[in-house]
Amino acid sequence: MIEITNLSKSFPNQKGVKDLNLQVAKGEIMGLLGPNGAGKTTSMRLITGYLYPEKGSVKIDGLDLRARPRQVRSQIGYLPETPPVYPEMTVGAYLQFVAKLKGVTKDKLKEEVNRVAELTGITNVTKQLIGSLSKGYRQRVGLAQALLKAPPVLILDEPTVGLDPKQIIEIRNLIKSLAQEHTVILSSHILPEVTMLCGRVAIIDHGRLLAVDTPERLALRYKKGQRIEIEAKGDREEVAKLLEEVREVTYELIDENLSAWGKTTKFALHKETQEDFREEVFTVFAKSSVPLVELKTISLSLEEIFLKLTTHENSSEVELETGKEADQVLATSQLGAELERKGEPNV
Amino acid sequence: MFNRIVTIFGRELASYYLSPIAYVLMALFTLLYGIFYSGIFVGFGVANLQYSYRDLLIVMLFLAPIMSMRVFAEERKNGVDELLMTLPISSTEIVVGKFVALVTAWLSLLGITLIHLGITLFFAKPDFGPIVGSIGGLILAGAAYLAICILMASFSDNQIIGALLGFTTLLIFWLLEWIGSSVGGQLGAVLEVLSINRYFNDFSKGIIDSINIVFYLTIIVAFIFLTIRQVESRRWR
Repeated sequence: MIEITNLSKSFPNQKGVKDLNLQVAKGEIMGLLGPNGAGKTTSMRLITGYLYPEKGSVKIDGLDLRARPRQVRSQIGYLPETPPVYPEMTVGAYLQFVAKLKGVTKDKLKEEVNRVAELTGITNVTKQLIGSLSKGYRQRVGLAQALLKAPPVLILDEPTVGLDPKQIIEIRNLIKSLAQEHTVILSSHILPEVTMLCGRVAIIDHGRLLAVDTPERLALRYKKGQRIEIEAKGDREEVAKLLEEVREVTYELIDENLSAWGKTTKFALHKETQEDFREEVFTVFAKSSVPLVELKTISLSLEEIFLKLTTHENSSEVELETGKEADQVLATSQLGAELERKGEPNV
Repeated sequence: MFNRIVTIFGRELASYYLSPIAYVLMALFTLLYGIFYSGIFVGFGVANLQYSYRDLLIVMLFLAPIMSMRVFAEERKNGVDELLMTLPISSTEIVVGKFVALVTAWLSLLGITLIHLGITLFFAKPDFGPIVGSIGGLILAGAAYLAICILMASFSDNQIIGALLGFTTLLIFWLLEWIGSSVGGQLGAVLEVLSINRYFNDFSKGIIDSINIVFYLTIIVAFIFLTIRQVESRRWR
């Protein structure tokens, strides 16, 4: 549905976007994730045609944005970073104005405006001046505008910014329900939001695409080995002795507890493997007289991956210059991370 | 195309009349024209409107930059330009819609002078040629002023800077006649040709000459075209 090839744009005093490649399938929700100033907004401005790239192309449904600007733009509903509203207009008049420009015919105008107002929950304020609305309502008016004429593609730049928790949940549910008929690209720096909403996530930093995948697969890919946490009924020495029997595992004490049910000890276990070693741990304890009362997998959250990918600026920037593939950049930044952990100088 | 221009035009005009600027300008216009008019009609006792009409060019030198300064700056400030530029409409439609709204506002200002015309007609029998010529000339010259100022306003995200750029450019166009005659030679002749007010002279005498109409229309088309290019070029920033 959306095809972004080698998209590049630079600014004199500002970071731009470099060689962005991204394909978004129909009905998919793609999340752009990155720290502030990473190039999310620039990317979205390039996709919507507000800015033109120095290099590369954007195609929607096979149509090139530059070759058929009007046709492609009519396929896109866009919510910019700041809701694009006229403070001196009423919500209803504003939505009618945008609907007319989008080519909604006169007889369907009211119906269409009511539809989007209902979807975004702003029917009670349609007669109010936009300037008198709260930030949350303005954001919803901005979203309503993007939904007018039901464009197949929605580009939403931080759609939940400025909303209260209840509204955030409403808007997230709305976006989720929209994905059935629309293809959505949304940006956010709120990680749980992205995990919750998006089928796939693109991590961007310094204008570069670092990784694209489902949140789960990203976690799997960047997890070094497996981590589990156990709790066993027994004292520290007893449990540690048993853990020695598990092959190639490193462990560390978390906590010792004296509860009403007796003494328990908690350990964190780590093993450099992609295989499941929970069984092994279980068997060791089962053979002994020390009962295992809890065993859980600690998965690497998107947050950790995000930090991992975006905090090693020095090592990844060297790679950026040479213009290698995103995966190689990852490899290097991971290498950098590893070296750092071992206390060696960063390359 | 036509529908979209009308939509842009309608919103622009509504927003102009919702802003206090519109009424301040109206009051200022009425006051200034009243002074010019009474100075000649009451002061000299002459039923000759072309002089007070001609003085409106001075008023327009100040009004045109103020009228056009907000058309782009405001939208860039509240982020609406990002919406307009990504809607399925062209920069031409946006610019033309805004320009026509400005010209309409100018016509409504000129409409105020019909009151004075009525008063004149009540007391005297003025020569109609110069009146019709002057009004026609003012419409064209005002539109040309606005076209120049809309281009200058499109260069800046700041209203004040936009207005100052517009005012300065208009002033240069005003002074070209004087600069041209002091420079002399071929260059001087070219500068004099571009002098914006010399094409008004015939109008105020009641002479409708196509060269004058063509000059103002050329200025309008050229500056509107440049404004469209300027708005479109912002995508390349």
